[in-house]
Amino acid sequence: MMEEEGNQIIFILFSGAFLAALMATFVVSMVILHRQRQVHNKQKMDQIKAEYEKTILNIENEIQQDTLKHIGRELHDNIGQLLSLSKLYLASSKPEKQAEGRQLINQIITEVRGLSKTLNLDWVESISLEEFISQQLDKIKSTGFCEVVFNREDENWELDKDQKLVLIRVIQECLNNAIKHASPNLIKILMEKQEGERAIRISDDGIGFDTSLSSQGSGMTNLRKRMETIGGNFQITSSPGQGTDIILSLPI
Amino acid sequence: MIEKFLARIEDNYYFHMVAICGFLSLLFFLLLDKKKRRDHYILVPFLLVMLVNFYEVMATFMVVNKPINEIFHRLLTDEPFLGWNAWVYNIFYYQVSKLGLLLLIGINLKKALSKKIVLILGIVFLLYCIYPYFSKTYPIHGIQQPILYFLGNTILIIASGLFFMDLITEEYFIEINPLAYLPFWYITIIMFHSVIVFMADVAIEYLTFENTRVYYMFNLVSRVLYVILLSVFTFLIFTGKNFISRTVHT
Repeated sequence: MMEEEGNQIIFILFSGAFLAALMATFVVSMVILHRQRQVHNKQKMDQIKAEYEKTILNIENEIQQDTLKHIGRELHDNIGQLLSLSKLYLASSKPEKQAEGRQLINQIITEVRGLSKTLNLDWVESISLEEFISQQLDKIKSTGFCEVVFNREDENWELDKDQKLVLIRVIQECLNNAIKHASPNLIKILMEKQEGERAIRISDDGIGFDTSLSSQGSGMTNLRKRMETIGGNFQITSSPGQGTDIILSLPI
Repeated sequence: MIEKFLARIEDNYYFHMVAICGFLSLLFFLLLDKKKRRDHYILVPFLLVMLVNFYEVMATFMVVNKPINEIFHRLLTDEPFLGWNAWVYNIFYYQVSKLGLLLLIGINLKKALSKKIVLILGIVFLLYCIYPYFSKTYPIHGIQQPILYFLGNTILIIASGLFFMDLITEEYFIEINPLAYLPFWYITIIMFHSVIVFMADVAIEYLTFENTRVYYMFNLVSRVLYVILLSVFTFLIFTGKNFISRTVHT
């Protein structure tokens, strides 16, 4: 009787130990799985971070290249002309011409200062997105290419540098596309705050295009990816003859 | 009466450990600021420690004070009074505390589906707990309630499993080190306890009368795990947060 009870206890002890070992294995497996998930997540985060940094770097390079082109044009068409003119005035024996020449030199100094400021990207921080859009639309209007309309809210949006940089580049690209391909009579930009997000709507009444065409797809994909980099969305609606409507949205 | 009570608990080290945890928990809880006291991650473990203290004192008191025990017994059943205090454990340990532990696991779940499953388990268990009072199917004063014991442990094992599923799938846990996360430890202990005493609880009637050595062995294991669980709760109330590390997680 005692022996039977002893056997029972040994059996139960072994069963208990087995069960405890099983439970311990389960818990350890859970911890290992959790750790693996953490490592995987870290790799994913690193990859996203690298992609983000690459996108921002590309955008900075593109903006700098555009700036250099602009400076080149300015040096050739504006400052170069002003320098030639001031050289002529200063070489003149007439005192009033020499005074005009000095005035031109002052103007050149101002122009060069303005240009030097655009050489680095500090201007992105100093300018608001609203000011930038306004400047871009004014430029388009001044060329007489088409009419422009800009609707905005009273308050400026608060954006960090990277968000602003990406939005500036995407808006520039959208406007360039409209000018190059759409032949619009009107370009309209609307900035608004909706429920939980901010949206910029860029619309034109140009020739439009079929959004499903692959030739157009890569550029749009690029813009979409860039918006996603800053946690935003890129939405495009267009069809031949119906103009184009682009919505860039960012969560608040 | 008090002498009898003290004599009864004199050699009961489990009772001493529970009382120490209860005293420290109460002290640490009172030292916490009001906001933390209302936080359910602190409040529920504190209430559970208090509940264990309450039913342990009550169970001992019912053994030494038979007349009061008999009054309660008469309220619960018409069967002859044998002087047992099993109804205290049946109500407060096998029913209330199991529901409390289920609630504690439930508040630590992040997935909506997991929470819903725990809620359903809780409702089913609660209904089953209420049912015997009216139907008299299983006498609440006795130890012949294998289905109740089976259900109590099963809901806790399922809920613990759901927590571990959440741990390896939910976004919330991705930055968390589980080894420094107190809910991970107390849910692990709850699961260990439920699994280990599962069979013993279901076969408690047989073990109590036929194999007391095995019964005491399981009782000892259950008590050791419960003391560890209460110690983790006490530590949680002491730190006032779910994490052992100094990093503040919200």
